[in-house]
Amino acid sequence: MKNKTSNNAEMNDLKLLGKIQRVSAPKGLYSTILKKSEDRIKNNISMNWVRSTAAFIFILIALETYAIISNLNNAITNFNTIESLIYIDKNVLYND
Amino acid sequence: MNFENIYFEYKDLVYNLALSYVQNEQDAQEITQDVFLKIHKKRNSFNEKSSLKTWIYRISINTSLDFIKAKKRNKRGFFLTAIRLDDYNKYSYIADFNHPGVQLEDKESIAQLFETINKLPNEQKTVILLLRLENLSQAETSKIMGKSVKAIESLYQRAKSNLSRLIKQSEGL
Repeated sequence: MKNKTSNNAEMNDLKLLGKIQRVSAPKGLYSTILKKSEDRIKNNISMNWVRSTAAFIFILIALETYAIISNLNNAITNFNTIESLIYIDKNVLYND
Repeated sequence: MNFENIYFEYKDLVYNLALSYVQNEQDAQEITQDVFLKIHKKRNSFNEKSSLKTWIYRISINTSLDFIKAKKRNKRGFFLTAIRLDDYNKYSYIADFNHPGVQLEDKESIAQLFETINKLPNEQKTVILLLRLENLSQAETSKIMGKSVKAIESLYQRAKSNLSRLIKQSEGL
């Protein structure tokens, strides 16, 4: 009995939804949608542009890294040459 | 079917469904715009296996739920430090209720009912709105929600019992 009463109350509440009338979408919405869609297309950056920019940045970083590494190698070589010359001189003096 | 035809065929369906979710004209307009922008963008990838109406229903439901989630997040961030959230929700709901399809004499009772429906989990809310407000069959609802008819039936029963519990709670019984 209790169940039946609560079911009826439930149904009465839900019946309220039947009183809601359907309405028409406001006029002018279509032109707003078209305008927004056009704006989105204009503001969209093409994927090709993104890809070529990414490739360019990657090449730039690679060249920069190559330049730094080769400079470092040159510096090490120069340092080794100087060091070896100093070492020979010392030995000569020692042997003398 | 070109976009213009799709719009004029389904604009009222989308707008009314959005109104059922947000019960506010401005928000429903925003949702309707978003839905049709998505349709415009994705219409070429529309899978012919499902019907256009089912597809549009799905987009409308997802867009409405996303809109509500985003709105809640924004409001919470803004008001959390100012006032208690419960008080705010209550105040905000009554202030925001603006459904053009509701007669003035029914406004209070329907606003209260929607306030309770809004507390249900998303799937339960959707099943009530589709079955009771959109007057769709269980078979149509099952296609839209991607569930079996049996699952829809049990979801509806759970939604009804939760709704009744929440109504009793709000009445203080």
